[in-house]
Amino acid sequence: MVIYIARRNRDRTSKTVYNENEVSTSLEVNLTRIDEAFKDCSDLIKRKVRLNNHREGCFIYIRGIVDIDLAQRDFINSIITLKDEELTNISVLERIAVANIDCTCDFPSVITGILSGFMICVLDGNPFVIVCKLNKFEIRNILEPEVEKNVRGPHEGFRETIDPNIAMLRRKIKNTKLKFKVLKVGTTTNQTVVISYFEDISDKAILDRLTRKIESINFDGMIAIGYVEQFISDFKLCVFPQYLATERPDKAVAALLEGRFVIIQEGTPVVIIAPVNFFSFFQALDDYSTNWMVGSLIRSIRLLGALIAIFFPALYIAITSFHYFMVPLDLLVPLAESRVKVPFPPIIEALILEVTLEMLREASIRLPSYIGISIGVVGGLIIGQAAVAAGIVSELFIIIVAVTAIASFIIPSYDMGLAVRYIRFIFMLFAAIFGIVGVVVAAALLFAHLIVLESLGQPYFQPIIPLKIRDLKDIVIRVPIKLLGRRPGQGNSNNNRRGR
Amino acid sequence: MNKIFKIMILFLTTLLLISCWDQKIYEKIGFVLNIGIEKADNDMMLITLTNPVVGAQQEREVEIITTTAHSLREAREQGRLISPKNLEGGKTQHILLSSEMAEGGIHNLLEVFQRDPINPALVQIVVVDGSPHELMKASLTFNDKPRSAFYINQLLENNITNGYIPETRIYNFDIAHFAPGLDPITPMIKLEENGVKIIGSALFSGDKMVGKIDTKLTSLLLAAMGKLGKSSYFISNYYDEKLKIEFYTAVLLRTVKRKIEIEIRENNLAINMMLTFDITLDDHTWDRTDEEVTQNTLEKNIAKAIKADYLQLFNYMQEVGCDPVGFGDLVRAKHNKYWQSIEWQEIYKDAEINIDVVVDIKQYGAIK
Repeated sequence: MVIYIARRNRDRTSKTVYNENEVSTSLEVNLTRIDEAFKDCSDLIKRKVRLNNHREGCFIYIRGIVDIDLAQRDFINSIITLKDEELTNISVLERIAVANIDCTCDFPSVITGILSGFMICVLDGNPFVIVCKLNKFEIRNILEPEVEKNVRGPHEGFRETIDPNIAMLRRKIKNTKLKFKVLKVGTTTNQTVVISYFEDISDKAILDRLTRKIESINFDGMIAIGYVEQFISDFKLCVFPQYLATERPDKAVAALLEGRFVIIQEGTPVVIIAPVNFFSFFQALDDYSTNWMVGSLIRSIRLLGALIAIFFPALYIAITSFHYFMVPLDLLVPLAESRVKVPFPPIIEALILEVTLEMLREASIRLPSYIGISIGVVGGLIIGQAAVAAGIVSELFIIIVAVTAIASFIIPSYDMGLAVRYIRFIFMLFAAIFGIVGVVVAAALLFAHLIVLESLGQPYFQPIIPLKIRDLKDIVIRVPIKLLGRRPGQGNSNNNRRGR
Repeated sequence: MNKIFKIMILFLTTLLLISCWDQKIYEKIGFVLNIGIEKADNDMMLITLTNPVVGAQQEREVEIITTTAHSLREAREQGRLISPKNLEGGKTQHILLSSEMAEGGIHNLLEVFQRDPINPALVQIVVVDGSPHELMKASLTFNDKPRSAFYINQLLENNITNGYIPETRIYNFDIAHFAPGLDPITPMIKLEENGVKIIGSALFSGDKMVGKIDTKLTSLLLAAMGKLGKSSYFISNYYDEKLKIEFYTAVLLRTVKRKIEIEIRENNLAINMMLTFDITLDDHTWDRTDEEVTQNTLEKNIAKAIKADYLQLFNYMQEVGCDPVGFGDLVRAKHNKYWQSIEWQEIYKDAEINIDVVVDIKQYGAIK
């Protein structure tokens, strides 16, 4: 890995002011150059030492990202006890009994090494630097992801550092065919992005395409994986997520086994899965870990929820603004009675309540949980009771908004939930202007859009369009696991039989 | 960017230009649920509309608007001059016609329901024995019943399910009217002291009412049409001398199988109709009803009674020239050449209708 980084950096820095990328034999020169690079960096620690009474040396590291105890015990002590001739012998130095030690002549990779939490040892007279990977970051404990809970699956989630995340995947998949392709993103932040995939399952062409896309990102820093996602998505003018973001390792493993790619980025616990289809956003591990009948029921309820979340308010507006004759006779008078107190036309009524609801939802995300409870009170009591009493909205619409809200909460993917919320407003506007015809036209446009969409070159609305009958058994209904013997077509996998 | 800007402009202009001209905001509409039509003096119709009043204080109130007009649309417009709400006919449930109007022909009268797509073809056509205006006015005072239109709606719906009246919506009526060998029938109601009563069906020939039958015959007619509901049939059982009461046996007509054969003879037509009823014995006397002998006797008696009723029914229908079963259509479909050579109305009146009824007791209850 280090060599790979070094090679890349060499390519990149060959045009910079340092014509000479080599490490100098003089300690002074090396230290000056490091000082220059790390000017005004108070977290850089230089510990000068004198070895065998005459050879000057210096240990350099960055405070807080290096395991000092380990460095003191294994690295510094080993170097100090070496004889003078051994200190200049590269083959001896490379065999010091410390995990992950290396000698490099490439100066930029030394800088990268220091920044990545390596401890380096520069010795006077040596044309190389000893680099020892001893990084130790403060990392979070493994917790269950807050936004993606499940009942019967594992309760662990990814974390912000990349190595434990990779380790977590490796721990779950003990197979040499699982590969990790390392790329760098962020022209300033130098972050690592890893594409993991199964060599014998995944499609090479998709991998090349994905690699090209990530390599072509030209941006200073990727704060979250959403940045990468936006840079590599094919359709920028689209509210639908084209890649599936998850914090769950089990979901990542499931995706890998289906021949998909998992993109892990340093600094974020969220990984993205590609290519995916529209229906992937409605699947959760619980569908598979429980009985297929129950799983199918839950799955279909989720899809129904999405339909309700998109269409319900729009239908309410269309019916109350244009198509009074669609209301069943028994509901005719109760609905009219709840509407008669409201001074606004249905679209304004709907917008007032929907916007308030969106505000409440946004507020509850940002607030600590103990204030979140009071938000619930405000939302439930004040908006619910008082708005009806004050005649701003009708009782029936409160129910519709509540049902819609619940329906949109059951979508397992946060991104898809956002998309559904966004589309709902478009549908509401169409319904207010054109009535049910508007809803129908909007639905047609929505489907047309979904059919055109692609995720990493793969059709987004498959297996419905293009129709893949074999894959339909895991869309609305999840058939028994025994019948899911073949991988879905979207991963374009070379080897689509699951199991021997 | 330019493209997006253009799309935005286009969208906003359409939004401003259309100005929602066809909007019908729900709470501003008065829903005309019942329309009563009868003949008025001075060459006009007396049209009565009811509209449930919606508001905080007036629960169960119904607005009733009575106007004289030359057309249904004119009546609505007249109503709009009075009502606080914008009256709309899109949710109309019933058209209550006086017999006088029905006898004069109603096809042209109801044309507005087909011409204006907002007006539903699902409106039920009902003939009132008496004045629809009086009935609708009286229906406002039934304190133990739901609001006028809802009451009539529930009453009709239940009795349609029970098989005592036909379901005749405008589209049913029009289909039957347009078919050359088929005639419509509609439910018939009457104002009673504290309610509205279903009294049977009005028989039509073309679009003109020509006769009426009671609920008992209607249920049998519906069975012959293949639309048997869940109706009960009663026949005399025994007379209690001491009490001076005649007791009846009640049976539930469960299913019916029809077989109709058309026989063309030289100068007339014979229609042979075989009806097989499966029935449940609901109300009888303590008897050995589990024994086959008893059952057979009972079955024969019931079949005889039903057959007698059918003969009476078909004789009457032939007399008035109403053919709701669609014998004419059968002739047209199966013997088209013959059909083209005849005048159906004439042939139907003289046709020989032979009815054969078979009854099978499928269930005799829990008593042995």
